[in-house]
Amino acid sequence: MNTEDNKLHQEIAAGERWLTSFAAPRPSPQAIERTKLAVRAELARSPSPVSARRWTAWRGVLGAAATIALAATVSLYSVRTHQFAGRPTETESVDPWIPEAEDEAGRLALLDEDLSILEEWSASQQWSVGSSLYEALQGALENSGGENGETGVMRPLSEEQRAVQSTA
Amino acid sequence: MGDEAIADSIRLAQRGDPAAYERLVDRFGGRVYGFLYRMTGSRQDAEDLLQEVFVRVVRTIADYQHDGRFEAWLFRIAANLVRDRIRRIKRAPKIISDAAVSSGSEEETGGSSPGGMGASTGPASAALESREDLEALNAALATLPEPEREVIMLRHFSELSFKDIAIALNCPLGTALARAHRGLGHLRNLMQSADHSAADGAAERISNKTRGQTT
Repeated sequence: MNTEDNKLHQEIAAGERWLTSFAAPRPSPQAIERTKLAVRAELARSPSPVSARRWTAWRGVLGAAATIALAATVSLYSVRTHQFAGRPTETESVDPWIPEAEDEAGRLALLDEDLSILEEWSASQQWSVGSSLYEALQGALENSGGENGETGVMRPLSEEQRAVQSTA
Repeated sequence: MGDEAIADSIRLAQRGDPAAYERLVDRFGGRVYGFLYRMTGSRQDAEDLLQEVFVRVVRTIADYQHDGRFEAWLFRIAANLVRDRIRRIKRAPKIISDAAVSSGSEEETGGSSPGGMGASTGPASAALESREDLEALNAALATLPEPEREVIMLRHFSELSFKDIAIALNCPLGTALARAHRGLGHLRNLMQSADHSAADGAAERISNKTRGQTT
């Protein structure tokens, strides 16, 4: 500490010693009693500071736990919702379509069966008929010109051609 | 009440023990009152503020961690409250009237001992002289700027170090020292001027009396 600081502290100390020579004001006993009553009233109004602090700590813990539980619930719900996205979530929404689908499947089965029959029949019959018709038509074209000059399909059929047509 | 007893009282007060609070009021109430009284110049204001200080203690003691500096914490509360009160009423401390001084329960004649309670009496002339000195001191304090008065009174009543006072008032240590030095010097000059004026007045009265007797 330098000289100036020493001088400063010495002068302050001297001033404080001088000040202590004066009497200090004192509160009346009534003022002290009123202060104690005010303290008791404040204690009665508010809970114990330490218990309040403990309760505050517990509230903090409970609040943190509640927040974590809420976050976990929201996360779980969002994950499950994402997994089931795009699927029918309710089986009841598919049920009305099943009878119609069954009916349609039945019709398709019948048509398929008919088609099979036709295919089999045509496999055995159609080609022979087709080839006979082809030959008939071919002959008709070669012998073109009827009694009245009809040509092509307008030319009347011969007896042999009529016989073939009747069997087809 | 030693440091250990104070620590015990603080611990019990933090648990809400009313008796512990009362012990703290008994231990520190007088000095806090003296500080408030010197700062406001009003006994009524000082008593009101004394109640507010300890009510604030009840509300905030849970946050206080005792490190042997309870007085610094307590007087910081008192300084903040009195500063707010002074700014709210926007007036300088009043000069204590003769009626207030002569109540007997407030002032202690003779030397100053900030701790403890009660008043001691002495010879009537000494008491009268002491009251005049107190009036002069109060008048001189009222002329000081508030920051200087605050530092001097905190130092006088709380017996805190200037370092703790600087922390309590949220100012640099050098500023607290400068305010104390300046304020004490100003006070002493004013009191010396008042003494000279009182001495001149007494001499004039004696002179007039003598002249009257001779004529």
